Amino acid sequence: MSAVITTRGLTKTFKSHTAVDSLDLRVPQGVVYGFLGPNGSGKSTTMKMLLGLTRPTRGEIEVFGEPLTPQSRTRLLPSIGSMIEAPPGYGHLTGAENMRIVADMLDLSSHQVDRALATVRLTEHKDKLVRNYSLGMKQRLGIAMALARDPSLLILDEPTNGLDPAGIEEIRTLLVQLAGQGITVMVSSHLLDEIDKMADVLGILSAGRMIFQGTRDDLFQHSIPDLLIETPDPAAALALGITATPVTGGIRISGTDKDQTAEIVRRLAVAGVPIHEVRRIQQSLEDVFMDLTGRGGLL
Amino acid sequence: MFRAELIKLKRSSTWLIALILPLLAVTTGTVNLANNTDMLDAGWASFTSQVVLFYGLLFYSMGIGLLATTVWRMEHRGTNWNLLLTTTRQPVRLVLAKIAVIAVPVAFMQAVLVVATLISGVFVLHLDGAIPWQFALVGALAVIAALPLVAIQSLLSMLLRSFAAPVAICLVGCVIGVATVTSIALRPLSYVLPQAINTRALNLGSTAIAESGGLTVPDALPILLTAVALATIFTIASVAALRGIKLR
Ligand SMILES: Nc1ncnc2c1ncn2[C@@H]1O[C@H](COP(=O)(O)OP(=O)(O)OP(=O)(O)O)[C@@H](O)[C@H]1O
Ligand SMILES: [Mg+2]
Repeated sequence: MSAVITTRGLTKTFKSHTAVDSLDLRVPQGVVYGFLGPNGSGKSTTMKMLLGLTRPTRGEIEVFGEPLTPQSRTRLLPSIGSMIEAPPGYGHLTGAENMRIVADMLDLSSHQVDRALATVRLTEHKDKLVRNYSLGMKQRLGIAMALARDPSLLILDEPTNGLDPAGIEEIRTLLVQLAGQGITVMVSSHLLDEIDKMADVLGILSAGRMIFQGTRDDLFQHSIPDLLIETPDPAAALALGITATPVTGGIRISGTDKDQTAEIVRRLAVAGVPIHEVRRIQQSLEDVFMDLTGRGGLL
Repeated sequence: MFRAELIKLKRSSTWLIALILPLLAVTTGTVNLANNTDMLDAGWASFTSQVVLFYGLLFYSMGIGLLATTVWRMEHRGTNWNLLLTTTRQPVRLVLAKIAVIAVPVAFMQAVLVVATLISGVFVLHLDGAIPWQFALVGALAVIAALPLVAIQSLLSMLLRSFAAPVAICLVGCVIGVATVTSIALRPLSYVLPQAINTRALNLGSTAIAESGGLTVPDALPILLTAVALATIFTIASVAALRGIKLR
């Protein structure tokens, strides 16, 4: 798979604060790339740099195999649909008039506009003033404005913000469908749960640094689920000096690999602590994510 | 791109500004003339001079300041800058489209001024003599003379998020402009200060300001040429600002 976006050492510093730190992104062609990170981790800043809306302090960006420069940007922008931070739109105009503006700027046909409006199911509201739109309708208009140009790359920053569960599911389905047509979709979120269902590749950001990049399976492999030891006598186990948290019916230990697990079980057995069961706790991706962002990552 | 900008003018308050300011000028001119018939006894010449006096010194330039900041204000709302910058192919096209679209209500403002002046002269003041059609030419020339102010106010309104700041700067320019008309020492400044260029253009053929020049090619051409040259300089500066500041 060739990469649509590649960055090397991408860095953005505001005054003394480094918002994005030495990012090596690789977004393969035709996938949904989930760009994850807690609030303030630098997702929007990274996306703005990819669109040439803000200049990197350091590092390189390649889009469609071309270095991003003011000259190449002019050429590349018509094939990149984007929405950063919140949906844009002129409140004193109708949805249809907003779409006409985008169409005129990018020489799009009315057919492209109509199709984009239909895709986000906004056709019936297109003649309302945008200032009277609900948050979800604004969000749909923002996505329609990004889609109308028939982009090869979509960069969407938290596109499901403010949508109801049905709306979120709809956008998810849409993005997966677009990726199926060969469009590369980079979508950010601070909720893993929301993105996990659609993303083929995940990039996880924490405090401006990439702490994980790979598939969902890679992510699970990298993170070690907690070990649960069921025993009627957790106090005795803890008395051995094992670092663990007591839970109902046993103790819970995090971050132990296979050898460490064997060692712990041996010590418990030697000390005569009764063991009823030893197992790994099934982790949700959310746990993995929290674990990673809290710990500073695997990279 | 220009069509996109025209769509944005829909339902905007630019039209109201462009309607009210010239009507205000014609009203004050009419009242002035009606109250001073013994001093201002030159018929149409006195009347048009009265109308453009305050309009040329203040209303016209302030109107342009207001129009520019109104046109740009919608871009500063929410994330509209992102939309603008990701749909603009070249900065120069955006700068020119904005200047052109501000010039549309400016031209409308001038049309209102000319039409309202003629109507008031004929039907309210019942002035004698031929209708001064050359006043329409002054009105049209003033649109070209306004280009430097349109360009610089567009630049200021693009850079400043605040609605009032560019208008306040425009007002300072107007005050200096008045000084260039009244003070001989400051007179040279009236050739390069956008607000003063407006004043000079609107007062071509006027009797209210001394040495305002006639509506002749030797008097009008230098004003128009300076206007076009200055507008070009401000356009280039705007493109540089857009590249250097907005796409930073
Ligand atoms: N223009 C700016 N000037 C100064 N600091 C900025 C600027 N833009 C962003 N930052 C800082 O950069 C950091 C990253 O911000 P960014 O908006 O990229 O985060 P994010 O991951 O998109 O967060 P969220 O999930 O809240 O949208 C934050 O600490 C923010 O305060
Ligand atoms: Mg953000």
